[in-house]
Amino acid sequence: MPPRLNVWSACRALSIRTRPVTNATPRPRAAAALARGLADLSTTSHNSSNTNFPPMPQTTESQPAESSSPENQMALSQLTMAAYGVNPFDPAIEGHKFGLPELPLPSPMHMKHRYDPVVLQITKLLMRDGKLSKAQRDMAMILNYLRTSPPPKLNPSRPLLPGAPPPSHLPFDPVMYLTVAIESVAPLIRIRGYTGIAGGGHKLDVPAPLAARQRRRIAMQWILDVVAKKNSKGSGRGMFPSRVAEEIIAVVEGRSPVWDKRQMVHKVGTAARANLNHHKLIGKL
Amino acid sequence: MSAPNCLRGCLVQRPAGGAAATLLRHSTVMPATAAHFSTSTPLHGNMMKPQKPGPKSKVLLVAKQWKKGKVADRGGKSPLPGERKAFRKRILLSNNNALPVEGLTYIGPGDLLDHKNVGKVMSIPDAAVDQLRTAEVFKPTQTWSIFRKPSMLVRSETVDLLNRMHTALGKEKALRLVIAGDRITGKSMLLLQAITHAYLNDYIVIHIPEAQELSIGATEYAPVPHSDPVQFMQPNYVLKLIQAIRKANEKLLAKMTTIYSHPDLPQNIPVSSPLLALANSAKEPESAWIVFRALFQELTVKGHGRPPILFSLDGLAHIMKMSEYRTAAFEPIHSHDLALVRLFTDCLSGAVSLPNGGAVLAAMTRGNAPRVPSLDLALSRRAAEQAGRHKNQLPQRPAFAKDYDDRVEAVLQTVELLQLQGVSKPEARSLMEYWAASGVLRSLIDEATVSEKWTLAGNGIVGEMERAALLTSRF
Amino acid sequence: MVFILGVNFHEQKLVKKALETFYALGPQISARVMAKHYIHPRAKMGTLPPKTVTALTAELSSMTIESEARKIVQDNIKRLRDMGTYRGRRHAMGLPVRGQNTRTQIATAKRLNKVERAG
Repeated sequence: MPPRLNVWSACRALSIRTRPVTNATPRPRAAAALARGLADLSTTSHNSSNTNFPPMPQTTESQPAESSSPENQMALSQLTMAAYGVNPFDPAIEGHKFGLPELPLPSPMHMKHRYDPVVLQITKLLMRDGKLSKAQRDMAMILNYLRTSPPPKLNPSRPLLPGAPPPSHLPFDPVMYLTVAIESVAPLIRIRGYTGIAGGGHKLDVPAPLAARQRRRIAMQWILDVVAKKNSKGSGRGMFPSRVAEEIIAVVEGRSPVWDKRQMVHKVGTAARANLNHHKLIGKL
Repeated sequence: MSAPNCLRGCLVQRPAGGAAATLLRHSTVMPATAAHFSTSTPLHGNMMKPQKPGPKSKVLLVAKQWKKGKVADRGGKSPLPGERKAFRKRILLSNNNALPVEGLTYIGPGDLLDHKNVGKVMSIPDAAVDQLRTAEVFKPTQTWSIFRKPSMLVRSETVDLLNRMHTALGKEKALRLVIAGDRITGKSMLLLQAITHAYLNDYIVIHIPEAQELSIGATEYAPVPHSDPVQFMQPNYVLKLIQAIRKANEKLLAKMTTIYSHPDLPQNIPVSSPLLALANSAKEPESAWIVFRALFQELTVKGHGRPPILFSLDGLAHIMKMSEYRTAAFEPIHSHDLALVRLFTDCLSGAVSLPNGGAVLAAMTRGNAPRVPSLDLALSRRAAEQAGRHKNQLPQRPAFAKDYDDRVEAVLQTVELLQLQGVSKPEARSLMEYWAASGVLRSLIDEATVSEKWTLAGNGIVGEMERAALLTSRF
Repeated sequence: MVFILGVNFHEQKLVKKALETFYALGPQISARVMAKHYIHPRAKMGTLPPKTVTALTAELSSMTIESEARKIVQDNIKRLRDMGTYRGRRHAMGLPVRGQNTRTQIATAKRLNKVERAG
């Protein structure tokens, strides 16, 4: 499609700066903030037209004296800016109300990566009947519950993942709290049953490794199974999240029955290791 | 150069360097302690022991337990009657995990009148917290539970409202005002601030925390003897209210003495005995309304060292409609025929005056409120009057509408209206800095963040800002 | 436990529901009875003062409920039967009375339609 030939398209073309960002030092965020504030000011005099396009150079008007010509004014203003210590040619400021985004886009700016991956996955697992919005609210309540609960008392016989932050830090970072709980209690393997191999109608238990997301999913489902069997203390919409959050705390403190489930799977898996070498499975796994 | 004007507009009016630096305050952010996860867990000795393969039978057992249509037995005892509601309605006012905020000052008696404090976050003194808790002013939906101690943002509307209260006090009149506004703009919070100010300045506070408790037919009622036209008292509710008033205003009540003899009281209270004794005499629901009337009569005596009164109610729309109660003849009872509600509406309309000054405040609620066309009409008329419209140009009833109510409009004939909107950006910034300093909001508070949340929250609607910043799973 | 008209009710039971357990006392009448004694719609049996409980018993004993109401219905059916009408016959046969199909869905009629009707 050929570009439309009108005045505005010409202006738009003119306003684009093709000069690359040459600044060696990153722009301080305060500059953009300040520019934002100034853009709000009513004293900032734009042309009377209230369009989003940059106003046209006032060529149609009678040319003023040489000293007040637009070019001269601009040069003067650039000098003023230089005197203030601001780079007048910074493309992040020039002509942009909010500045240019920093590239590559930081992950929270990207719609698909807005949430922590664990939070995202767990939220979807909390969802029932496709009500994502409710699940998100539940997740927010769970995180707030974790944030307001006292630091967990760890059980040495149920160690968390190596490298987990100390318990006193956990309530300050509820996402980390949740992550630590889920990842710690997640099983490493699952037991696959092969029927028709062992003979006699028995199935052959074979341990199989799990990917990270699979592990989290199984752990969360175990937790939700326990939660479904709990009595809620109160009524209202905050009860399901508070039960989930209590169970997550119980996991971190080593009180949760989910740990037994994990241990059971691991035991069976360890016992069934030999089955990996079953002659009928060789080459199939 | 293409757009010189634009460039000039954006950049030339830049203030000199230092301003940017002062705007940027570093919020207290926890160092991100990233856990280095590994998929290998420490091996337990007992895990390595060879096990007899017996999982199959267990799986079968589990499968047998789940029969179709059988409700899972959750074990444990279920909560007693009332426990669930108590758990839902419980109010947590502190979070020991939140960081104490430096430089947070307690609200003093005159602080909420001072325009210099607009945009500051200030803490409620502990004594006032107890009083507010007794009067049930805190609500479970407010976010008290995630901060170290109850603190609130002083808004320009707060200072404005309290100054109006203060001026009315000077004229020995009561400010009669309705707080309206969109959802979660902070109407109940503003009421809380007014009540806090009242407690700090030795007002007697009579607060009805949920107007719907009076009109949805959930509490006992009985006709007031010898009332014509007949009114209905709500003995159990009034007894609870008297006890709350007594507990919250104990010091003040102990100082004052009765000047009337009240012959119809169940207990003989001689003249010039302390008002506290009068309040204490309400022990049975049957006598609660008589005691309340006597107490109110004593409190509204002119002079005699009587303090100003703040009479407040949250959820105005609920008392502006027919109640769920019925007369003995099965006629529906108008809410204004309930004695306590009638007292409030009389105070609100000015029919009953508070001679020692004070305020009658009613907050609207938008979350769970019945639609009352007359209330909407009356408030829109007050808004038009305050905007300076001529009397002939005020909004009118639609010609053939039926569901309008003269009694409601009569009550709201002369009230003032405070229309609450979003906070300004400096106020939003101050609030967010408080959140960040408490360690609850983990981001750098700069112009961009404040702008983002302020805009997301529909131009600074406080509740929406909380939703966007605190009640989110995005950190 | 609260006694009304010889029946024992749990204290947590809603008064409305308790009243509606009586035969021929439905939502309309129960609301009116409660309004007459100034019992609010959400009252529970435990909160009723003894005075109201006796008043309720007195009130209910003067109303045509339970066996008296049943008797009226039975008399009506009996009258139809004695006259030898179709309706009376259908009642006696335990079949639908008002021309419904009988191939399926007549459980209610089978349960209730009798000359000495109980429910």
